[in-house]
Amino acid sequence: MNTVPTLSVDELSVSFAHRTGTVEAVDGVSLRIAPAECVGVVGESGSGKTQLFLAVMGLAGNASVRGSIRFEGKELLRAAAPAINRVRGSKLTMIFQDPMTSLTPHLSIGTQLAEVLVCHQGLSWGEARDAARRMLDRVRIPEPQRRLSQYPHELSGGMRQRVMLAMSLLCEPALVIADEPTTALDVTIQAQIIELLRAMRGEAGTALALISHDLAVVAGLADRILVMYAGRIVEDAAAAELFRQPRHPYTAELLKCVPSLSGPRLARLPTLAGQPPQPGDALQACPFAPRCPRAADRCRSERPALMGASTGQVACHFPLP
Amino acid sequence: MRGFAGDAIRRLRANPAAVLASGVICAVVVATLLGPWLNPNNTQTLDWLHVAARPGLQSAHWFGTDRLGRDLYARTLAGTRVSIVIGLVASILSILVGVSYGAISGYIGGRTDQVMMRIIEILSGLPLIFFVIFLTVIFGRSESLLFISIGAVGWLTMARIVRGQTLSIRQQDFIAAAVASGASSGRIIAKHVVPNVIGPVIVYATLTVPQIILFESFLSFLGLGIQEPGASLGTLIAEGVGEMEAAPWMLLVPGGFLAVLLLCLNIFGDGLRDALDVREG
Amino acid sequence: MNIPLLQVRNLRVDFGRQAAVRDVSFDLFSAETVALVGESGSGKSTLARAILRLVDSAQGSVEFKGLDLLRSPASVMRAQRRDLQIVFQDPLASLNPRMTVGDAIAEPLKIFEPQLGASECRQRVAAMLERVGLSAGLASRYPHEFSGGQCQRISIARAMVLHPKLLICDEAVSSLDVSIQGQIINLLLDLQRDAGMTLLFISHNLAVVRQLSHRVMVMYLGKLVEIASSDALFAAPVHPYTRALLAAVPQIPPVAAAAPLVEGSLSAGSVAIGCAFRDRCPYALPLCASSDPPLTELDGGRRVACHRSHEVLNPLS
Repeated sequence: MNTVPTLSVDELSVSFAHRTGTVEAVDGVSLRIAPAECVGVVGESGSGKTQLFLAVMGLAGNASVRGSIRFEGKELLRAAAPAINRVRGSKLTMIFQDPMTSLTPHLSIGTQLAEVLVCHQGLSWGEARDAARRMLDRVRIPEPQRRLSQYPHELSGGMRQRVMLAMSLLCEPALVIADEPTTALDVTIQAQIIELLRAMRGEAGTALALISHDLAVVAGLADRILVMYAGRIVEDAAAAELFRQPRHPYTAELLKCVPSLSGPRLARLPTLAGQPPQPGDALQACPFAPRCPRAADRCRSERPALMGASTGQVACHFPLP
Repeated sequence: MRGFAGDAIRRLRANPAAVLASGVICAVVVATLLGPWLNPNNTQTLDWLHVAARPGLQSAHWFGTDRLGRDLYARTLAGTRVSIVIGLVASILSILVGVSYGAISGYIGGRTDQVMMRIIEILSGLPLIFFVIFLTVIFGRSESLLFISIGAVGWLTMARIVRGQTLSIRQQDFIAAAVASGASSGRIIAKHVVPNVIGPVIVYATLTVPQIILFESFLSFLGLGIQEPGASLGTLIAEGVGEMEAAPWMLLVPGGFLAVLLLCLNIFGDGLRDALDVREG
Repeated sequence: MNIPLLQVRNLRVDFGRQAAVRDVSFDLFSAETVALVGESGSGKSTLARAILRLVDSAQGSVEFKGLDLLRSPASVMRAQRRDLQIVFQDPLASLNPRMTVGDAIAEPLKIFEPQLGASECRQRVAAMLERVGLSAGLASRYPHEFSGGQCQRISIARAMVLHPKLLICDEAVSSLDVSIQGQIINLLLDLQRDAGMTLLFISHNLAVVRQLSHRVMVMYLGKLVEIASSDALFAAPVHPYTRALLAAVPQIPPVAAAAPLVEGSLSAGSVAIGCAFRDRCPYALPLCASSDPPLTELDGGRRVACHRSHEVLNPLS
């Protein structure tokens, strides 16, 4: 593959100062997202999946970020503010989890959308509003002209997420990061948004990083899936492969824990003992060792590196065959 | 409370201004209690030999004397003691009344809340000084009048603050859980509402103490509070104002004590608010 | 003939001028697990709170062990609360931050069994903590020192300490990680089996509901639209909303939706007459706009509120 990956992250670490010491939210993560690829990033609370992408967007706040983040070949982490601002919001955009709070409450939808185009592409306000209306149509919001003058509180959660999606697509981005975009939404609305994302991918050729704790949501959209645990990537595989034959014990156990609509009804649900580690917890060399059915002494002393072919990588000393 | 108190105390200790202020307050309190032992002069003795004497460590009167020859050191310490006692007692009363009133009003809600809030609004609207003057005209000057008028002030804002906190706590699931567990309203207010509003209450109480001291000083300055031969910082300052040119120490000593006390209480109150306001995690 | 533990009849709960719960009637029997599913705006949480008299109802009756809770004086209601408990969604918000978890669990004991001595109280709390999978020594800790899953265990311990006859779980596992959900659900199933308790499990997660319930009730905009046994509902849902709901659940591996997905979302406050679902229903008739279908019984004990339920609608494969 000679094409430059849209996003290239190398040995990224994000840590926070805490009163008890430094806390690592993301620990040495490396990943690649190819143009127009949809990558699902899956993990539970404390896995670091959100912190990882906040750091990519430069929204990590007080955290100290080390490593390298290259967007379309250009280093983003230590770039000057103007360079970052050119890219952020236009070519590299993000949709957040909570539609209630991600839109500015006192500005109309039209203003917020048009502002993106005016700032990044130098359009006039009139042209920008027209383009915004067309984009609202593309994300299948009914009565787009009327919506432009409405305010966020007048729209439902599902509508607001569509507006966020519209905002992120306005400048034809190379990569859209969607952080739990459907978690706060009802099931029927979630299905509509997933359908919309699927359509958008086909049309625009945009890469999508879909962060979710819900494997089933990711299953419908992703080409490739990254599984995160305790701030590290533990498995990186093509979606179909991952579901058919997970190689990391955590992935396998997690898949067993997801209740399904088909399949037999069980007297007891399968569980995974213990709980996912939070940033700041003391970890063994392999953070999953305390809960892993296959753990051995080597797992407690030697940190497993992410290894394997391009088709599938896993960070485990004793991966499933 | 272990977790919260411990964290708050640690944060407070890390704040140098608050630590210094609390040190000074302690020093003043200790001085008012132990001071009289150090210097045998009492507050009433008229020393005709040393009328309006300057302060000096060599002389018998460390802070000088006033127009009648009374020792300013003893009188200032006595006055400070009175101010601190009034501040403390009135604060405690305002906490007790204000917290109960606000928590009950906020938790019960509905008509009861409306009526209780109207009462507070009416009382807040009264011009307090006129109220005090009016009462003084009717009942004559007395110290109990002083306590009543100060008491009328202190609890109003406390009640409002507590009511506001109660309204937001009332929506939380743990209150619903307590109701679902069969707890009576009284039990819920006492065990679930009040412990969770204590933070702002403590902070506000610490900031009301200086307000009350100042109010008492003001009333006494106007001649409505502590009267001769009693001493309070307000009366001492009132006397001192009259002697400003001839015997400036009569103003500066009690004035200085009052200013330092108020400043330190305010700094400490701010530090306490910062220490308690930070949420866990 | 089994006498129902809980009989709700024609319950209506108003939220300002809207009706959050409209004309809801159902029965709950001993030792069964019934799921109540619906999305936001369905009124399911309001229904739970109305049953417990945590919110006021405008109309209707709630008979618990033969006693009408809504018309009982407050003291009688309070006495019944020992048998009627609830676990809420947000684990940390359900616990008083200034109370140790031991005190929180002990509170129902102190209210209903005031004659218990301090040490006996402690023993009961310790036993309850162990029963929910936590060590008894944690009783002196505060809620913020625990994880979400542990806080839910504590809330369950508090709800179970008096061995209630009915436990309502209002989205009790929705805030928890996937790997923890199973632990909590298994705990609830164990407790229920041991105590012969009735469990009303409110959730929007149909896959979880399928695993643990005997019967399912589906709610939409304040009304019950379908009540059926779990097996029957998931094998062949009848009401168009139930079908849309099941079709919308993402699956591994992904399946193409068999029934058309509904467009649009709940429009709050729109429904004065007619079926609440008609704006989004792919099978709507003119009749649906003028007449609100009542819950009618079909073969096999299933009840559906749809004018077209008697037609043979293709079941989901």
